[in-house]
Amino acid sequence: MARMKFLCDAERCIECNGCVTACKNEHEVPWGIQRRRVVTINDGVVGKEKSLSVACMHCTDAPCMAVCPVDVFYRTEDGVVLHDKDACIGCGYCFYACPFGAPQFPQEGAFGQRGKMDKCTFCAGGPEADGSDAELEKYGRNRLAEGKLPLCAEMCSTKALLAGDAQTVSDIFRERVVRRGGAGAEAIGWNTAYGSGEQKREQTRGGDK
Amino acid sequence: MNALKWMLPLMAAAALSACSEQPQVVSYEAGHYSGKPDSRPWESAAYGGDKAAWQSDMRARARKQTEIGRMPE
Repeated sequence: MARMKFLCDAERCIECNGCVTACKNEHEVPWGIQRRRVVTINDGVVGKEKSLSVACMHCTDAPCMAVCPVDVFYRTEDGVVLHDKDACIGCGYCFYACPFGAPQFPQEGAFGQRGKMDKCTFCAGGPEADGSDAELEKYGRNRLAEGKLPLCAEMCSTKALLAGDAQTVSDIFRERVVRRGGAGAEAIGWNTAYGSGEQKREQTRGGDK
Repeated sequence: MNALKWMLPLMAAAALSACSEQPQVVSYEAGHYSGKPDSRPWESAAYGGDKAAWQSDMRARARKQTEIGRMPE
C-alpha cells in the first residue's frame, strides 16, 4: 500500500455538495467548520462552469507539517497527514501555509479566539484509541480502521470524487480518460483545471473590461 | 610608545573577535512529532493486525468506485 489520495474529476462534479454534507454528518463537525467544500469556477457561464471538491490533499511534502511550531503533525504509513489536537496551540501558521485552505479553526469563547485546528482526516481518526468516544469527539469517525474509504468519496453520486490508494485511483481515472477520448492535455482535463491560456478575465466577470 | 603598548592588544582583540562570531541565520531542522502515538488502521479490532487483509479490502473497496466493468457493454 502506497499513499492515500483524493482525486476530483472536474468533468463529473455537479456541485451537489453531497461530499460536504456527508463529511459534516459522519464526523459531527461543528458549525462554522468546513473540512470539505466545493469550489466552482465560471459559475453561471453556460458550458464553462466547472466544480471541484476540495479538502486536505494529504500532501506528500506537507507545508503544514513544515511550518508547525509545535510539531503536532504526523504522516501515517499509508500517507495520511494527521495532527494531535491536544498539542495544537491554534496559531494558524498551517492555515497560511496550506495552498488549499484546508485547516479550519473553530471560534471559541466570547471574543471569538481561535480554537484548535481541525481538518480532513481522510476518515482516519487521530491519535486516540480506534473507535473511541475521544477519537470521535476530536477527530471524527475512523473509517479506515473499519476497512472503509472516506465517506465523501463513497457518497459521491457521480463518482467525481475518488479516494484510496493513489495507484488504484489513478488506474480508475486513466480508464475514464481513455474512454473519454481527446488528445494531449485536454484528455486529462488540464485545460479544464488550469485554462488553455485563452481564458480571459472578462469572461468570468460578465463582460467587465 | 606607551599608547602603542595599549593599542596593540586592543587591535588584536578586535581583529580576533570575528573568529568567535556566531551564525546569524537559524538553521531549520526537520521537527519531530511531539504528539501522542497513533495506532495503525490494521491494528483495529476489525483486522487484529492483519495488514494484508486490510490492504486487500481497501483495494477492493477503491475498485468499486469505478462503474467501468460493472455493467456488461
